[in-house]
Amino acid sequence: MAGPPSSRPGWFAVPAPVRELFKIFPLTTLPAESLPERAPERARVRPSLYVFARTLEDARSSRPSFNPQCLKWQTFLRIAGVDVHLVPSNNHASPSGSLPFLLPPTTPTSIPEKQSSTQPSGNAVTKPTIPLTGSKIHRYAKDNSPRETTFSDSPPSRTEAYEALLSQNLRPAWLTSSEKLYALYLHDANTPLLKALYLPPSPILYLPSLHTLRNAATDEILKTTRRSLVDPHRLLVDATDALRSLSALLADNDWFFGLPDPGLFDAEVFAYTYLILDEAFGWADDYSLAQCLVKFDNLVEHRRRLYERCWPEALGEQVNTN
Amino acid sequence: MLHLHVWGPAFGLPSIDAECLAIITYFHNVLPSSSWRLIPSNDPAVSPSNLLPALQHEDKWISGFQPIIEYLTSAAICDGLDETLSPIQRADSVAYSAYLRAHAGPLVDLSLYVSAANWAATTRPAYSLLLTFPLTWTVPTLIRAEAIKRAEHLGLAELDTDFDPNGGLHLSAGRDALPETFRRHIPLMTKKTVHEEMTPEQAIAIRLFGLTEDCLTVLDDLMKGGDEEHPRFFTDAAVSSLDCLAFGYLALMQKPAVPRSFLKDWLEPKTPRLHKFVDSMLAAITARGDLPWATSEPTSVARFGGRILDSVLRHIPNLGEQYAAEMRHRAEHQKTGLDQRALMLIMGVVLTGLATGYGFQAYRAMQPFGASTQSWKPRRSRTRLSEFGQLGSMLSSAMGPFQPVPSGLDVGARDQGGPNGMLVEVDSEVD
Repeated sequence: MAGPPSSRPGWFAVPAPVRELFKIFPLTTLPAESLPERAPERARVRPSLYVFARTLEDARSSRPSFNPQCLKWQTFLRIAGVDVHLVPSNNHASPSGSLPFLLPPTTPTSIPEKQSSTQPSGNAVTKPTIPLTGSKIHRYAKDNSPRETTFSDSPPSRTEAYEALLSQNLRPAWLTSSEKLYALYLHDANTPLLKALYLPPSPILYLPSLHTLRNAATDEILKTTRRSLVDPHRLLVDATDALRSLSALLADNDWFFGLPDPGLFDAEVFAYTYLILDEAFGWADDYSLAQCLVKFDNLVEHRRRLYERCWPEALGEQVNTN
Repeated sequence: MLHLHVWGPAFGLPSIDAECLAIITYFHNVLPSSSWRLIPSNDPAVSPSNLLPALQHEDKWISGFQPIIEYLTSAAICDGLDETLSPIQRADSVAYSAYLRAHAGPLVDLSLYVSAANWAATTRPAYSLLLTFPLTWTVPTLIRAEAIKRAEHLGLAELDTDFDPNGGLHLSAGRDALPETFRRHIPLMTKKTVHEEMTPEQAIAIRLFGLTEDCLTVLDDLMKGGDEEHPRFFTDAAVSSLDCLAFGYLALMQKPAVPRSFLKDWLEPKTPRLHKFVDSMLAAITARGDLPWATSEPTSVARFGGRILDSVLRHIPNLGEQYAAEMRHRAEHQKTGLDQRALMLIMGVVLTGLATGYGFQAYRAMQPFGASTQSWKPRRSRTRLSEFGQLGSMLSSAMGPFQPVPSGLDVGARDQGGPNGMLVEVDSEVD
């Protein structure tokens, strides 16, 4: 028996008409959809700092964030003269679960642009950058500072003690007040953009998120103060103690620890003092923490000095807020 | 007369709690023994703010180390220890106190509470001596849970292995738990790796020592350049409030005889100044005479029972947290007795309980799905066995002809009725 001729299709070959039909597809190939407006650019020229911000405009114009942690690093990067691009964000965006974090600029590689567009997912375009948090932002800012002045270090152990003072005494008072603040903040119907960005419009979602926020704040306070109750009066007394100590520490110097230039600790203090005295923040009228703070003139002066140094473009506004 | 309520003595120290220890030291330094009483009440609920140490002066209650000191000064009971300090030294004192609470506190928590071995061998027995019987089962575990929560941001959860494989009886260590003679007959199944051989403290030793070093170096730096024999934080003052607070924390690092003594191992060789500081403070306390201990008033049965119930309720999963939050809410707003909120809550709990109970009973009463119903009924009410419910009925219908003979007297009477052992057809209803 002779074998089948080679031209004859095998058992599994697709019949010619079907093959022809399938060859028609795809009928047309549409151009790739562009990324959404707010999507991060693929190649960053400037480092991006992800912070809490009220509005997109606030972030675009690099106004101070409303969160002390974010403001601390924002201020420090400004002190160091590192130009960053602020991205309004929230905790869900962060790899570590908390803001702020910094994405360093993508390092340009030798691969030409044309090739990179053909294989967008490969690592040819940019090296993946690792988000920086905490002390790594510190190091990044130091390494990339365009200023010639080296950051003179403050005495390490004293700085640590005073940082503990901020986190231990001032932060709980801040948290109790921001509970009120958030309630006030969330009811504010004046900013539709805020509502669209942060708030679920329906009360079904809004109430539980407020509840979660309050519970988290209460837990945090109980843990740091090592007490079993939240006593607002006690927290305020502690905060006043802390401010008095800071005032004594600053004395007549321009910056803390008598350094010629502001450092990280100045940024940290500024993050609290700026927000406590910020009138545009929406504090209640009888806000007691602010009343405590205005008694310490040198801290108020320090706040003004650092604000003028870091936000020179906002000097016009500064006149009517302070 | 000032009444100072604290946690009781342990580990050869006047108190088991750091802040209590600190305030005892402070009182002992500023006040003569005749003007105050030290009461080991061991119950935070004595004070309205639910915290020890608590000072009772006339009918005022003040809780916490810093508030008590402020009260002593403001009520002009005595001069504060910090009067002689300069403003910058006072600022330092406030800052380092905050530092102690923020960093030394979690370390003490790690050593005494989180570490399972130390907790079982040292801290828990110490609490057992302080508390009376049923509370020893409920209260220390609650205290430990709080300490674990306070220290969890350090990320050293490995210490909290209650199943410490090198500890005691544990399933994975079954071989070691057996007596030596039995062990020969069991083949060696697995070989332990080096990591398994280590205790949790050894496995994370580098991180532990790092934390300890960071914390103690900061304190050691402040103490530099003082009197070598009696080191104090501020040399011109004899004892300051910061010295008292630091003594509270450092003594709890150094004195308890814990099996895994990572804090002590660091404290002794690396920061001998702090080590000497604790000893010198302790010596100063004993040199000033005995502490004015007083026995606490006997608690009433109702109060004691309430405390037991309270601690048991806090142990209930989910519900316990809600209960704790509700109790805190009531304490913060100084509510006592029943108000609308409490009534609503109690009603809610009762209604939910009833509904759940009813549902459970209804579920229990349901037939298994698909099974046919069988019921057994006695035909003759005379049968004794039917007195034993359904099973009795089944047995009596199965053993229909058998009549148990209760006594000899009855036999004759029964014989007259008919032939013995009459077979009677008994049908059971099966549907």
